[in-house]
Amino acid sequence: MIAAIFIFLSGVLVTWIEFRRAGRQINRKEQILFLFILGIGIGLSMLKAIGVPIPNPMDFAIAFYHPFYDLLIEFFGQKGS
Amino acid sequence: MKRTIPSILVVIVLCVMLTSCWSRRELNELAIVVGLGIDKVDDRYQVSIQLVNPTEISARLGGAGQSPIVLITEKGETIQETLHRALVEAPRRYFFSHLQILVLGEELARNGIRDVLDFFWRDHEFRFDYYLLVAKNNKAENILKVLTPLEKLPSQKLFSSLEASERYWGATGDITLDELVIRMLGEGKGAGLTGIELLGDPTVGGSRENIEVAEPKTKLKYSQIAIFKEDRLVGWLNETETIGTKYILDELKNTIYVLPCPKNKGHIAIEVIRSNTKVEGKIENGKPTIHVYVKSEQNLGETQCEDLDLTLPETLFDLEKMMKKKLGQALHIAVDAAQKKYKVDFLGFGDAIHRADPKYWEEHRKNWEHEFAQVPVHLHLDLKIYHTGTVTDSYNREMEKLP
Amino acid sequence: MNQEEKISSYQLLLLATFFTVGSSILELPSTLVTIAEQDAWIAMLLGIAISAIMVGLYLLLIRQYPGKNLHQINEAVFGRKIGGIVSFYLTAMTFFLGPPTVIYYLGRFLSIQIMVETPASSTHLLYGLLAIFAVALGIEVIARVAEILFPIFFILYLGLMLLLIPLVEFERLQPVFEHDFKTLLWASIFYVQFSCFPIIIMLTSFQGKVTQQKKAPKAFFLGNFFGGSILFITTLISVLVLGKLTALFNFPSYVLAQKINVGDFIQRIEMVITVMWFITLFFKLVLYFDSAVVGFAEILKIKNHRFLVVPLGILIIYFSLTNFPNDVYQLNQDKTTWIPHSFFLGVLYPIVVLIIGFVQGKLKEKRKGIHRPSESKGG
Repeated sequence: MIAAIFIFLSGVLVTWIEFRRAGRQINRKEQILFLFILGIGIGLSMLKAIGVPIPNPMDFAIAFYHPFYDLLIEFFGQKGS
Repeated sequence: MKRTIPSILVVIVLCVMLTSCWSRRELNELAIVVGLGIDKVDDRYQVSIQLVNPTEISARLGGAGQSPIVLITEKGETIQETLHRALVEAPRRYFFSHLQILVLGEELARNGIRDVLDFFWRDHEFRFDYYLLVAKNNKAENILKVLTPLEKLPSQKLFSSLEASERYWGATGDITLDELVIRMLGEGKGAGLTGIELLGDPTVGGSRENIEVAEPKTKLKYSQIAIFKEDRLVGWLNETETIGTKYILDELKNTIYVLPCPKNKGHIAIEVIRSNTKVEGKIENGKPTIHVYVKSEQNLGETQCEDLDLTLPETLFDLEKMMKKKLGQALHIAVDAAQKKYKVDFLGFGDAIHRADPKYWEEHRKNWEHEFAQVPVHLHLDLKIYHTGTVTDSYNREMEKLP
Repeated sequence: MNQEEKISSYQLLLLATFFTVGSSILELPSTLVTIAEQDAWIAMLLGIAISAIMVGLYLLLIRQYPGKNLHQINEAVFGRKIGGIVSFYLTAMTFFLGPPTVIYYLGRFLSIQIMVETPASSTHLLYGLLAIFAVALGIEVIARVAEILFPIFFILYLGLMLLLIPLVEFERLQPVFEHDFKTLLWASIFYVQFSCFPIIIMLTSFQGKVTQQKKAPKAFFLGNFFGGSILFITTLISVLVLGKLTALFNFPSYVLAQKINVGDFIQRIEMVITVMWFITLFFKLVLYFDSAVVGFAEILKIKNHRFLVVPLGILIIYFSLTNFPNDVYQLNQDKTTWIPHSFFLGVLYPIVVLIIGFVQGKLKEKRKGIHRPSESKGG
């Protein structure tokens, strides 16, 4: 719980520092994108810190690429290596 | 003011991230392990840990008459668990990076060492610069108990005397874990480890009396080489077989051969200075043969012979011939030990055939255990005796000439 | 501000070298020996040959579209929508699979060999923050860091290899060519998947930023070749010293460094390899990261890409901590996802772009009767 709070605070801190630095140079679109991506990162980290089970995106990546890998294995005639 | 808050934050973050003492281990919290012994007792592993007693070995303080080592033994199902459980007896936590020797009890070695060695292979604290030994007819625990003179740490003594005897005598082998595994994974699946023998009473050896006298009552002595088939000890090689084996494996750096005098009583010592061996496999008429090429440089080191005229060049040529015969015998003895006595290819012949003809090897790999015993071995010896030491002819012969 | 960033061709060479050496210097010999045994060095030579061809292809690609980075080329070739999708897929997937794995490698190495009790999260966080800092400062700073660190890296590397020469046994190379070509090719893929195919992403960050435009392609090519040679020598020495055992270790180069013992005097210097690995991994991570930042900015049409650095960096740290439940999962994942992905990224994609670009060029030529391949097409 404490870890999640710290992660959240560091997210706020990062936002504050970044916006201060940029001053007026930043436009609306950039602001939204920044907050959006930062939100994903901070949110996921907080969920992990609390202990909420999150599906691992790597499993999907593996499922996506596995057929191609099998093709390669078959082509090279290697078994499992 | 504009930059104060960010800079303070940066300082805090750096302090947290760069403390760099997370897994620190101070020297005064460590117990340095120099020797480890493993035995099999009632289907459990018994681990003996030889620790350094730091006050006793410090040169400045001179020591307070305590034993320079501490031995701790513990039993368990796995090595790691046992090592950790042994901490209940230890004053500090163990540090293994300075391990010098690992002694395996003979009973354990006969039952297979593969399961034991996995831990040493896997754990990060073990390096690959300690030597493996087999306690001949004994438990590893007893070997590690013995105190030795000259070197205060028995493990250090074993380590350095093994290196010295490997270099100048040749009948021992300083094998580290990675070398052992290379051999066990080799095509021959055979390996040799030096045996260590305890002479005398182990209980006396563990007490301080043992190092208070000029000739200790209990001694440790290297003797013979344990032959492993895969990971099991199958027998011991004697001195001649060992030297022949090391000749073939091209591990011999320096050794002494003794020849009898041509006519009279007495002996000649010939020192091998350099030797280089190549083992080549060949497939001749569909059958594998092994050719061993030995190139050896030797010096005459000692003569007791009255009839040996070292001023004549022929004498040295004759000696070369005698030496050739002698060496040939030694190598044949080693080959016989491998092919007939133990039927284990610890000489690396399988690897030689594999190198020479991978295709043949692919077909015959499975039968190699049976084929190996019948493989003809041809020796090609190229021997040179160059020097006769600081003198040419012995004063022995000058004395003969006196009226 | 970012438009003014300039690096010299020498710096580009060093960065390409570091990218090629990357994580492979510790791990690669093990994989190669597992597959090709004592022929691992031949597989490595084959890999260098393949990467020479592929890098040549990449250079051909950017020569056809001067002054454009990969994403602008995509737009020119595929049109705005499809080009955007292609760019997004390649950038996002490389971002997801690449940098977190690099950090994970480092954390794994540290927690296996050196700092066993330190939790991986702290090393990941520290290294991730370092990368964020570096990328935020821009590619020019990174290039200068490379210039400073390269001599250190190279001297350490050379010293290590020279000290290993006494342990060499040439018998371990025999029998040569025991394995057939297919096996060697399969082994060499494990080199090119990390060191050659992904190097195409460097073209996003560097296009138009190198001062000596004419020397740049040569520097890029040489950097890759030089890095390949470093890995070749490492593999060769591993086979010569450790033989078959190379396959059994996770980090054979570290074991090599452990084995060095010159007269009981120069010994226990394995930390040297740790320093080298820190340096090369840093550049691998930073170059992946920077190209992802530039790529995303290009796709999302943001001018000031500095804004993406921190959020993406936090995502990298998060992924590096959660993507891999354990080491074996990571090793398997690396093969199943990264080999096909790097194949898409480094082989399929440039070839398709080249072919389409070529066809479009021909069509245009017919229509207009003039040959101007650098003009934007299909947009």
